[in-house]
Amino acid sequence: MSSLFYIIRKQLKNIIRDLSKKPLALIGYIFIGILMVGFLIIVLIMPSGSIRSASNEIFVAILTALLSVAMYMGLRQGIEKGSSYFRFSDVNYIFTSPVKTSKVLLFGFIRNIGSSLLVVLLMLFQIPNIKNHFLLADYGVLSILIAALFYTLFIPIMGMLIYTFSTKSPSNRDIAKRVIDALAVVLVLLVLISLIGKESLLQAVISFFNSKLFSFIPILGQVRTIAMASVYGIDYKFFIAILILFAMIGAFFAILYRFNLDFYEDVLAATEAQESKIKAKREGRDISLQKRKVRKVKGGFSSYGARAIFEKIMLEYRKTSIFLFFDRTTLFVVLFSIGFKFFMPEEASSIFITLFFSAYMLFFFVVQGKWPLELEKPYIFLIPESNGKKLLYTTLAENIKNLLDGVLLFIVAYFIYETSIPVVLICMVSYTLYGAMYVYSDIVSRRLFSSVHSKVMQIFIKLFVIFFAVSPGIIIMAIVQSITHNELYSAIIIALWNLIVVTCFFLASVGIFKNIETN
Amino acid sequence: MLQVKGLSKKFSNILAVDNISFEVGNGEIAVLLGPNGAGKSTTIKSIAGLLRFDGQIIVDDMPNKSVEAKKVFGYVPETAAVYDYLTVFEHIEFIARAYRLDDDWREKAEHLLKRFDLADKADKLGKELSKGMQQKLSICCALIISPKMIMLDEPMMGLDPKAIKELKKTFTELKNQGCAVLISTHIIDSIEEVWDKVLIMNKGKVVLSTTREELEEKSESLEDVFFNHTEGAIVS
Repeated sequence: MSSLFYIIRKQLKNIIRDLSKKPLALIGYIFIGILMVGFLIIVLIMPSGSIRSASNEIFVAILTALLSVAMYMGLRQGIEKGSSYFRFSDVNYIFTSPVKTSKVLLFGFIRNIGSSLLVVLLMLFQIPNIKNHFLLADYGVLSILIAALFYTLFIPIMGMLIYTFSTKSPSNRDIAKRVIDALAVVLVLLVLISLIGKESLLQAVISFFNSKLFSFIPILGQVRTIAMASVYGIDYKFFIAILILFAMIGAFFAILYRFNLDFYEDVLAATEAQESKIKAKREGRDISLQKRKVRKVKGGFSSYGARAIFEKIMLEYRKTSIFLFFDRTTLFVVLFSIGFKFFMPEEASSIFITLFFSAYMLFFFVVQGKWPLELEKPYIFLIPESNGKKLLYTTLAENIKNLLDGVLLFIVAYFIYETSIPVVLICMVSYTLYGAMYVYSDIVSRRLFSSVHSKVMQIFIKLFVIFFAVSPGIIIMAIVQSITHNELYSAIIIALWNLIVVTCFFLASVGIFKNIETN
Repeated sequence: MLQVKGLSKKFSNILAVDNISFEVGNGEIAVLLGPNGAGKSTTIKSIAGLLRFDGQIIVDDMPNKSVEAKKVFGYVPETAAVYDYLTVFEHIEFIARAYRLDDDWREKAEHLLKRFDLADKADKLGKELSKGMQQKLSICCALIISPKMIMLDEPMMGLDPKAIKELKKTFTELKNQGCAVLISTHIIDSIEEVWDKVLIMNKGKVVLSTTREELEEKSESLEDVFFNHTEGAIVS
């Protein structure tokens, strides 16, 4: 076991040593660390229920529904692919070494606590949202974070257990799938039955998900109990739930020790899938793209020079998108941006909320979208055309896509908010300009911070660059809105500011396009 | 055709290429030979205009990053670069159109695809190709532009014996057509038959620049010279 801990110790040491050689990255991480601590303090001291204080029952209902869906998906994925704590380097060196399998598993589990803590950190960003809508009890934030930690720790265990069982024979796999699907159907049926004869359907669903029945479901019940303490306060049930979860982890390892299960083969597929994901992320590819169905399309090119880049990207869209530029991004942006409106109290609801929330989501889609993939291949840099033309045509498809997504989004928003057509039109333009801003700021960030080695760190930096670029526009808009109470003026301010920022980023990008370094 | 003067490239604190200079003439096959981490790929990437660098790189009397220079050189990267959702033929068509090639590129494309056993895979997507096939496609994309100068970074990696044979034949044909060829490799055997000039690199410097004639006069083998000049790369 000491040799396995040696790996953890040495890797941590080397990461820190590597960082000390890269001052810019180190400063970045320190900055993010300070920010996270600051964020944690704000999260802890900010008042609860400042926008509205929805009932504890609603909190529990949302929590239970989310946990149920996550558990169903986790179990299904466990059957299909299993789960893994391991990397290929572990498969090559540790799996083949004379170390007991149970010890190897314990090693994987301990190492995985690190990534679980990272998920908990990301969970911090959701806390203000929760605090704005619900009245949290003492130590409420802590309860949520503990629940998130346990849940992320248990996902791989669940996946491994069910995969180990289901791979013993094809019939086992079918049985496991049927049982899980049947449980899901039963849950949906129970929800439907609970609606019968009730006046308020919403109230019926809320009381169903508050049922004590859920407390008895292994893992889900305990995680739910811990999270519920955030609104009801910590009591003996909270501690019992933690004890049960620890006991489950202990039992799991006891089984492995006793039976010395040969799980290596069972985690191979999941390790391979995980490794491909990591590789794709490093190379800037979208792993989900690889699973898409590809249409056969004829006749892709008719132009020459830089325009051929645009046609190439269009050809890829025609092969992979649902219809023209509309793909899953469109669906997500439209559904979530419109859906977000219903989570906001009536007095805070306006078309600008949809604009800003969709712009926030768009950032992550652009960062992980098709456009950055062009910079990962050498062709864009090798093609003998001017940098301005290459930049324009490489990004044109993305800008058109954002425009069309924006048109669709704000047509829907028009009917929901019943605002004026000019405001809707300007919101469409503003949304497109946000997209363009993300694209061109990406080039500027790459040039300024190209030595930053971590993709996650790069995304953080881009987020900061964007934050400082976008904020003045929103501040000016807020001032204009409070003085004039005129949505049209506010919309114009946002669009104009975005146009100025996009123009600056584009001009800066053309100048530095030639100095970008590829991998 | 290619002039590299005082090329240096630093990554953070590491000097990957340290003030190197060399030339490759028309119809000459030059080889950048060196152990892993010698700076070969960095040199080639700098010439291809993919990295910032200190020094001067001239291709066909033009700065390497100029549009005019880019028209005349081809580049085959170390790791094959293909688009997941373009077919083999669409890759070639894309390059042909982006480089504004004359209409006779189709004929040349067919010839190249046949030569590298890709003709029956013309409708296959990039992501469906094996690593070796992706490498062959990368080579075809560089050759379709009929370059005056071509750079290949470890081009034999992942290729099957037939493709290696065809590639070597291609080198000779390019040489006969007056094309300057720059190959980076650490496998001496792979270029033994084709090289005219060798630039042995170690720790970012060119430690030896010599021609085949010079070595033949001294009756020395390329392998002996390589090990003599690359400290720490000696094997028993």
